[in-house]
Amino acid sequence: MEKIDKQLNNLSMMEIPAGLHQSVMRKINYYKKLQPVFFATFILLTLYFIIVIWQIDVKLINAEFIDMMQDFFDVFSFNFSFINTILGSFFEIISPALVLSAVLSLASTIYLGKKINLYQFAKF
Amino acid sequence: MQKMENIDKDILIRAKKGDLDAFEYILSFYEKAIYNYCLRILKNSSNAKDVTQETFIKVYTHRKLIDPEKNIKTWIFTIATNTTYDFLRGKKRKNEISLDEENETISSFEAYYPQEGLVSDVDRALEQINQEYKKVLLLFYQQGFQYQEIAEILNMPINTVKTHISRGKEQLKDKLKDYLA
Repeated sequence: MEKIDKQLNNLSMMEIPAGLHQSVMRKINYYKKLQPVFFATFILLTLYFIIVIWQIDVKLINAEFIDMMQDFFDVFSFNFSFINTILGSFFEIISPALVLSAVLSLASTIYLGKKINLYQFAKF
Repeated sequence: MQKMENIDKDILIRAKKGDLDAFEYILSFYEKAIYNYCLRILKNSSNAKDVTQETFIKVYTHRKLIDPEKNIKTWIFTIATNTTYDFLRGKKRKNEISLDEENETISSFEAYYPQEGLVSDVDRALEQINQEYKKVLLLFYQQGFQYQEIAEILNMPINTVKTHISRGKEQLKDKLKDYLA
């Protein structure tokens, strides 16, 4: 057993491959430089999303949306087909492109937030 | 047992604050040990290189968790071990080993194990024993960790570490008998 101990104590060690050290440092440098950019992008996207939501909200208030909703609930129990009417009205007031833009902003913000990590870098 | 001195506390504090020079010092200090540990487990130089890189990138991105009062080597090896497990799990899930990779593994093995001398016999025998025992033996003998540190790295009870070392050595003894015969 002592002989095995001796052999185990002298296990060979390989030299590290050329470029490993530089590659790690390069990636970390990129990370350090890009981190504020990612952060700013995230903040901008979030602000953009909030503004879009706020605009939608303002337009909805101007269109007396709350009253419309109240009407909707009143009528709903008697006339199911009113759904089509209200949906049509909604998209007349709010452009589908604006709604789509808000949804896409939210989706892209969440996606970017999840994907902001080092594994997105190309391998060197 | 290959002992490695600990890194100065000031450097760890600087690294924790994001100082790149301090981080580079830590990288230089442990990259060889980590690479060899990964190479022994993954048996492929390219994969070992990738996992080593990933390990140090994780060390940097999680630098806030550095505790200057504790031995950073244990923490880095814990990250390396988990990264290696993740890598192997990913490989297993994808079930993809390309022909190039297989060839590279074989050539790495030949480069890895010199054909002459007693050391190569131990290296070969290590590949034939239980891989859990191998990991513990590598950490104990090659990296010079204590039982408690190995238990922390591999997330197992200290008695299991002792048992693994004892059983690993028994298995090695059996394998080496064949080689020396």
